[in-house]
Amino acid sequence: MFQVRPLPNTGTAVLTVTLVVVVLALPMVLNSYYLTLAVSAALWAYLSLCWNLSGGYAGLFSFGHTAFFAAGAYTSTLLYTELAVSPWLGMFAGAGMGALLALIIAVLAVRYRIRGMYFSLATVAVVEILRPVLDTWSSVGGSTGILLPLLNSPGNMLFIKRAYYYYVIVGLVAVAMLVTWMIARSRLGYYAIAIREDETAAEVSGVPSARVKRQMLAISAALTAVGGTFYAQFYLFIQPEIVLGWDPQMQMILGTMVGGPGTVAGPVVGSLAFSVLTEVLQLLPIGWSPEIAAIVMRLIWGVILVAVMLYLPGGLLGMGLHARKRARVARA
Amino acid sequence: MTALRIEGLRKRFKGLEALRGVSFEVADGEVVGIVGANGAGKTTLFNTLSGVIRPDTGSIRLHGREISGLAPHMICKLGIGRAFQITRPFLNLTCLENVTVGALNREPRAARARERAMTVLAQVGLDDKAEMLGRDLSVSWRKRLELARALASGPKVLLLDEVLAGLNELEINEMVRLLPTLTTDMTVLIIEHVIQAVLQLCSRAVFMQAGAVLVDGAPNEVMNDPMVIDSYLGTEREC
Repeated sequence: MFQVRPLPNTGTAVLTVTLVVVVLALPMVLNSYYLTLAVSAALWAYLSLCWNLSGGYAGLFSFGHTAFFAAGAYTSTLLYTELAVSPWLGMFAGAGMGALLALIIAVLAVRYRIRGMYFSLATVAVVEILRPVLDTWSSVGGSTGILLPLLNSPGNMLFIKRAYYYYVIVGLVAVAMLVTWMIARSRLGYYAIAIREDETAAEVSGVPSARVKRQMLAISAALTAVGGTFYAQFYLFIQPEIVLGWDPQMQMILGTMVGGPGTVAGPVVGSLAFSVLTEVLQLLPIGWSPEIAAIVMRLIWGVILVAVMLYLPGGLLGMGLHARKRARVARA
Repeated sequence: MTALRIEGLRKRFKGLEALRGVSFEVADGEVVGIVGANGAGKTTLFNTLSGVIRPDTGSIRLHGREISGLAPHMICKLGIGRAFQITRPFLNLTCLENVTVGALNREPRAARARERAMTVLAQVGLDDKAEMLGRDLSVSWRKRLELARALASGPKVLLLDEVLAGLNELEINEMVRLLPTLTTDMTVLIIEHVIQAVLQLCSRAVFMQAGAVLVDGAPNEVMNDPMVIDSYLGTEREC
C-alpha cells in the first residue's frame, strides 16, 4: 500500500554479490599472516554486532559483555577438555550460560530500576566480580588459564588450516547480521529502539519494557558467548585476564559506535575500520616497538571515539542514513 | 455506560499531597476538560491513570475493570492512550517509526502496524513527514506526532495533556478543529489552560484545586463559578 523504503536497486545487488564473492575468495589469496588478521577482524565485527543488539538497539549500554564472552569461552572449553564434548555442541551450552547470566542481570536491573549510566556501571561490576572468581578457581585453570590442543579435528572445531576458521567466523557474522536484520523489522526491534529513546514514553505507548530488555540482552549475550567459544577454538588459550579484559569490551563498543549503533551493517563497517587502522599503524616504518604501537593505537582510538560521539552521534553509517532521509524529505 | 470510575485517589510525594481523594466518573464518549491552576494535581492524575505512577490508595476502573497499580504497557493494552504535556517523541526515530510503536499494540505484525501508523499519520496531517526524524520536527508537529502515537495504540480512553500549549493561535484553531474528527467514539480527558478550547471541545469540565475536585459540571458553568475565577485570577482582596 505505502512504498516507504525503496527496494534495493540493481546497483546495490551487484555490490552485494561482489562483496560476498570477494569475502569468500579471500582465503585463496591471503597468506597465513593476513588470514589470521582477517579472522581476528571478523571476530571483532561479530562481537560488535552482538553488542549492538543490546547497546545499539535496546539502549542497554553494557560494559559487561566480556562476562558473556567468558561464559561462552569457558563453558565450551571445559566441556571439551573435561568431558570431551565437541565445542560445536558446547557452543550452544555456552550460549545458554551467557543467556542465563544476561537474564539474571536484566531481571535485577528492572527490579531495582537500574537504567542508563547506572546500568553500564552495574555491568562493569559483574565483570569485576567474575574476574577474581575465575582467577582463584583452580579447577577451571585459575589465573593461568586453559590451553586447548593444537590438532586438526574438524568435529571439535579445531583446524590446522586457518581458512576453515575464517569460514566459520564469516558464517557467524552472516548469522549475526541476519538475526539483527530480522529483529530490526520485527515488533521486538521497534520496541527495543523505543525503549532506547524514551523508556517511559515507550511504556505508555504499550511497550512491555521489562520483557523487551530481557529478550534483547539474552539474545545479545547468547550470540556473544558463541563468539567466546570461537575465540577459544581459534587462539587455543583462554585466561580470565584476556577474556574478561578491557580490550575485547572496548572493541565491541568502539566498532559499533563508530560504524553506526542501531544499524545492521554499522558494527561491521566500524570494527573493520578499526582493524585496518590498527594494522596500518603497525606497518608504518616508524620503528615503534609493539608496546609503544599498542599505546599509540589506544590513544588514537580514544580520540576517534570522542570525535565520533561529538560530531557523528549516528556513526559513519548513521550519518549516511540520516543524510539520505533528509534528502528524501527535501525531495518530497 | 461508565468508561472511567475514579474513587478516592490519593498520592503523596514526600511532604506534598498531590492528590487528596479525587473521585469522579466519566461516561462513554464524554469529552471532559480537566482545568485548574498549576500544581492542582492534573498531571499527577494523568500519571496515575496511565500507570506511570502508582496511587497510594484509591481505585481506577476502566469499563468496570480495576487498573490502578497496573504497569503502563498493560494499561495501554487495555485501552488508555496518552499524549504527554512536554512532548516525548522518540527523537532518533522517524515519524513513521514513532507511530508504528504505538500501532504495534493492535497489530503485532510490523508490516501491518506500519500501514496502520501511516493511516494515522495521514489523519493528523503528518503523512508527508513520515520519514523525518522526531528531532527535526517543530513544536507544533511534535504535538501532532505525540497525538498520532497515542491514537495508533487504539485507545478507548484518550488522555490529552495540554496538547495546545506552545502553539500559536492559528495552530490552536487548527488543532481544535482536528481533534473531534480524530476522537470519534473515544472517551477523552483533556487537561487544558486554553479556556476557549475547553468550551469548544468539552461537554463537561472538572475543576481541580490542591489535589481535589472542586467543581464539576457544564464547561461554561464551571468557568463562571466564582471559585474557579478566584483560583485563576485571584480575589479582589488580594490585588
